[in-house]
Amino acid sequence: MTHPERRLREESAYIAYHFHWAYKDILTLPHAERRAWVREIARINSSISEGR
Amino acid sequence: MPENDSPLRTEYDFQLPHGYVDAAGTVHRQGAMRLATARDELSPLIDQRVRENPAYLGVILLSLVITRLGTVSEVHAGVVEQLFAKDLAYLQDLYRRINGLDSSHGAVACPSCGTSFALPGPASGGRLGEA
Repeated sequence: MTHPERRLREESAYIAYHFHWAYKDILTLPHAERRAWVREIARINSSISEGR
Repeated sequence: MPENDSPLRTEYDFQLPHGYVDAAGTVHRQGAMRLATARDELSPLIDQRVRENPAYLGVILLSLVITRLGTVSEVHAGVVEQLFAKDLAYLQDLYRRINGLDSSHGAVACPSCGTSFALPGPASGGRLGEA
């Protein structure tokens, strides 16, 4: 009934790496919001890599 | 910003099918559950009770996210342990639905025989940022 531990750590590290938010703050995001920020970072990275 | 501009709903009311019966015999059915976080799911993993029995993670998790249950002053693991199986199943299902672990993301039914199959959902498969 939970999200895989590895995935939780992966997503948290992804946000921390790109946004430099405190780990303890990322941990307190609801799952949907954490995933929304992961998607947003991916979108930004895609735009940059495509030169837009 | 997240795609959804509406304020994030973080708490959901529920009504238990049976209800929690406390030591005085009072039945508590109305309650509320908040959205879970990564911390909720990661922190119990170091709990000795979970190490000895992984299934206990579900009990601790529910005790963390249930913010209200009738007039029970504190919803701790001991309260969740005493819930009727049907109530426990109801709360686990509610947890899955409000936290994006709903079967609609991770299961499909065969159109021919109706058998359900688990599929990697958004929380378990693919690369980060890819739906």
